[in-house]
Amino acid sequence: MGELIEYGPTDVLFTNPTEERTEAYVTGRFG
Amino acid sequence: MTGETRRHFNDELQEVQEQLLEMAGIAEDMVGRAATALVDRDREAVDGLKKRDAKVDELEVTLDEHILGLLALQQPMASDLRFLFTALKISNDLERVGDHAVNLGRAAKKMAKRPPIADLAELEEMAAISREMLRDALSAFVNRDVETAVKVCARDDTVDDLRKSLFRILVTHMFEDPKTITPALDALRAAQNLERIADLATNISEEVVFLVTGASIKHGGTLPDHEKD
Repeated sequence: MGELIEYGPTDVLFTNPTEERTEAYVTGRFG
Repeated sequence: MTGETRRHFNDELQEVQEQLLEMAGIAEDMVGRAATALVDRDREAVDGLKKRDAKVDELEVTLDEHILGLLALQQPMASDLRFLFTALKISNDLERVGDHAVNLGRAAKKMAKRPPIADLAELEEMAAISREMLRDALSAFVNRDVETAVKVCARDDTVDDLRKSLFRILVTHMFEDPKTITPALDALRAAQNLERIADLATNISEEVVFLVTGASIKHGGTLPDHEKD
């Protein structure tokens, strides 16, 4: 099972996520 | 995104930053020259302004194309998206700064041809503050410094007040002596361009705040709570 890192409105997750790991994931720094 | 693709994208982002800084350097230099022409009544200081403006215009087009290509091909997210969005806006602001520097230089050159109508300390102060605001806004961008950016925004009202004050002084001169109308209108034109440069420095600072925090402080917007200290 995976781990839920962050949730919220789609536009916020893709423009200004709160968690560093979300930021790294959506910008392609890992995964 | 693979590691190689990400490295390539990082290089592209770095290149955008460098192009933007080149543009910023020229625009800042142009404002400095035009302000020197105004304050020191030095007509030669404006030489080469138009050539520099053409370079700023050229860089704006290059940056637009570069950023548009990255948006289309890389579909950037989060801080990368905010950086490219901000770079696009700052590049447009700098292009306008260049235009205002040219207009300021023109007004300064005309003013230097005639004896000064009065000691216009307000105009000199406007020139000093506008230059400082632009320099600080660009430094805030380079250092991703929210605190400096917010301070720049706070200074905009001072420049607006100085322009209003100068307007009243110049109108009084024009009433008293119609011979001062032409030089007073040149001084007013210089003041309007300085005020616009300060406005654009404020815009750049607001964009820096958005770049770093993701929050817009435009039109009365506020900083997120964790950035307020």
